[in-house]
Amino acid sequence: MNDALAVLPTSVGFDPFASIGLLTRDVHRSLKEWKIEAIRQELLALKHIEQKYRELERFNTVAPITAKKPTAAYFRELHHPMPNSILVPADLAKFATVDISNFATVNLSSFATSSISNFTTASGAVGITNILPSTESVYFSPDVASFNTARGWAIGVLWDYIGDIVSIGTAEYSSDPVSSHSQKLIEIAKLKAGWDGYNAEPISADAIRHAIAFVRSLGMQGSLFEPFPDPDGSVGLEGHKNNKSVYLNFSSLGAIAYVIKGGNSIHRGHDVNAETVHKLLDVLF
Amino acid sequence: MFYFDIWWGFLRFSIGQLFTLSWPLRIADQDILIRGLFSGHVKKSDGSLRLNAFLLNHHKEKALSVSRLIRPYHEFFASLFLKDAARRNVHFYGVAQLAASCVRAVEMDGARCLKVNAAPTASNPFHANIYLPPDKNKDYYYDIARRLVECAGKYIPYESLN
Repeated sequence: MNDALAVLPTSVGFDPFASIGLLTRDVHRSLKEWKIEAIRQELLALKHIEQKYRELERFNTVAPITAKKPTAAYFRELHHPMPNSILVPADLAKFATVDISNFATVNLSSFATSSISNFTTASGAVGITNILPSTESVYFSPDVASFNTARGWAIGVLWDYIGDIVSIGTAEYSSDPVSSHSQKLIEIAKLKAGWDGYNAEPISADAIRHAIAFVRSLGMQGSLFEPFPDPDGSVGLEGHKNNKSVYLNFSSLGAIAYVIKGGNSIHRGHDVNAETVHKLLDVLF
Repeated sequence: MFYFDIWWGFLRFSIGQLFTLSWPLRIADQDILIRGLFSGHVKKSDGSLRLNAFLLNHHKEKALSVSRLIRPYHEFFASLFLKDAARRNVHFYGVAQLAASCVRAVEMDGARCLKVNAAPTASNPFHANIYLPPDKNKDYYYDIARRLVECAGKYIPYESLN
C-alpha cells in the first residue's frame, strides 16, 4: 500500500481519494475500451464466420445434394442428350473403370437437397453400391428393369471419407450392346449341320457379322434384340418393346427381311438395307 | 420291338378309326400335332418358342415334320424322339404342340396357306407334314413361323411327355 502511495503527487492540498477516483475512472475507461475492442473483434470474427458461413452456405447450395430425377436441363449442362431412362448393367464392377474426374465438373444446381436414400434414377429405381475402396466411394443407382442392358447411363455420387458429398454426376457406359448376347452368338457360330435335329445348315459367319453390325448400329436399342439361328444358315433377331414385336433375318449377303407386329397389324418386307430397318424401328419404338 | 409296338398301336388306332368311318390317314381338325425340338436355340428361357422352331431349310425340306399325338400312344413319342436325337447326335428337349385346326387356320395374304397331311414313315406311322407354300421370301416364312409360335404357345419339356 505504501509503495502505491509513493507514486502519487505529494503537493499540498492533494486529495488522495480524488486521485483514486481518477484512477478508477481511467481503469473503467480502459476496461470499457478493451471490452469495446473485444466486442469489435468478436464482431469482426463473427462477421468473418458469417462470411465463411455464407460462403459455405453458398457452397452447400451447389454441392451436396441429391435426389431429384435428372431433368433435360441437367443433361444439357452435361452436353449429353437426355436418355429415356438411366440404365446400369448388372455387372457393377464395370464402373470401377468410370473416370471419377468427370463427376467433379457437374453442376449440381438442378438437384434438390434430400437424403441419399432418396436418390433415384429417371426410371425410379433406387440402389446404392460401393465400388471404390478406402476413402472414396461411388454410389450408383442401379436400374433393375434394365439390368441386362449393356449401354446407358449411370448416376453416381462421390463421397469423401467423412461422408460429405464431393460431387455428383453421370457417366455413360458404352460397353458393346452385342456383349450381352456374345455367349449366344458364339454358340450360334459353332452350330454344325443338322443342329435343329432336322436338315439345318451351319450358320454363316457373314450372316452373324451382318447381324452384329446391325445390333451395334442401333446403340442402346440393340440390346433389345436377341439373336437366333435360322435353319437355312442365316441369323434371326427378335426384339419386343411396348407390345410390339420385330423379327429380322440377316442373310450371308447382308439382305434383311423383317416382320413387324404391332397390335393386330403386321408389316413385313424383304431385301431391305439396314437404313430402312433403322427408320422403321425409329417409328416403331 | 419298339417299332413293332408303335406299328401295333397304329393298327389298333386305324381299326378304331375305320369303325367310326374315318380314314386313319386323314388328319382331323381336332387332332394334336407335335414337333420334336432338338435344339436349345428354339426355345426361350421362359418356355416360349422362337420362330426357328417352325422354320425350315428350304434348300432341303419342303414341309415341317410333325407327328400326330394320338392317345393312348403318346408314350411312344418320347422314346421315338429320343432315338431320333441319338441317331442325329443332338439333344431332345421336348415338343411344340399345335392343334391341326390352328395350323390350317393360318392365313397369309388373305388365304389359308398351310396343309397338314399324314405322311407315315417306317419308324413313325403317326408322322405328318405341314406343307408350306414354296418359293416365297424370307419374311413370308417368318410370318408363318410367328403364327405357328402363337398356335403352339409354350414348349412341352421332355419330362412332361412321360
